[in-house]
Amino acid sequence: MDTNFQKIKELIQESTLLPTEREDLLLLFTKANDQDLEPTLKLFIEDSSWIRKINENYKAKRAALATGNQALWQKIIQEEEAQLKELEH
Amino acid sequence: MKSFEAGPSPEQIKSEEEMSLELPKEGGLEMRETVVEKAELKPEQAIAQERSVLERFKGKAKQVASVLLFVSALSVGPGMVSEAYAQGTKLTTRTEQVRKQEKTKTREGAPEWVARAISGEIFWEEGETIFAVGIVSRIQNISLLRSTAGNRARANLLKAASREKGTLKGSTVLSFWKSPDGTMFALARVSKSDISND
Repeated sequence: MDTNFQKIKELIQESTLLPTEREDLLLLFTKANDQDLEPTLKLFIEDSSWIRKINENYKAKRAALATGNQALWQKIIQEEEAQLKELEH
Repeated sequence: MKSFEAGPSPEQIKSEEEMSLELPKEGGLEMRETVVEKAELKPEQAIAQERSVLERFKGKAKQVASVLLFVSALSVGPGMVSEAYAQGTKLTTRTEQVRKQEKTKTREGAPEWVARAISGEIFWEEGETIFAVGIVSRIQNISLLRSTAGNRARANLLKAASREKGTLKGSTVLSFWKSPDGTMFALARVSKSDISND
């Protein structure tokens, strides 16, 4: 039986992300317990455009964490909130 | 008297350059950083901020917020995932301090492979061998705790093998270590020769 990770891997490989982006995003998900990946898999199955959005979000977060930049993290969170509010309407 | 033709001082030019920095923008998640001051980002604070967002939404937005929190927690380190989803506790300054103390306690006396896993390195290679760690907590039954940790370590070996574009033929759980907070760690290994490229 396919694991959640394997299913996510297939979806990411079918996406329009660059090969290096696919590799980086997959590497992130390899760190997770498989059962914890279920909500992410569900989201990607429901709407594959989330793969690109999550990837962009991850890249920005990685940059903030790598530099320890609190102001940048705050900005990312504010942008997320704005996106989520749009989803509510 | 200062002449306006002299233009801005070098210090002024520098501060204007630092004011705005374009970040990757695609797929609707547009971000622009305004560098007012560079306060240090602490992982626990980062996760607490993200979780406070999750708590404000419902329905589809909450589903997406949950995945965003998951991405944040994984970005910080796999050990942060369970902390991010901990119910009923807000990461106040006090609880942050307690959690920091607990984390230090978790690392005390831990083997080097456990320290690697806590820092986010779930699998790695040493020569012709791949190692992977499985982590489990919140299971009371010790036998089930060990077997689940072992199975997760093997699952992480599978992920490593998958990255090598191969499948796993055999693996061994080498060691277990239980932290003072009850978290069980298992270390598994596989030889690269046991990864088939079918």
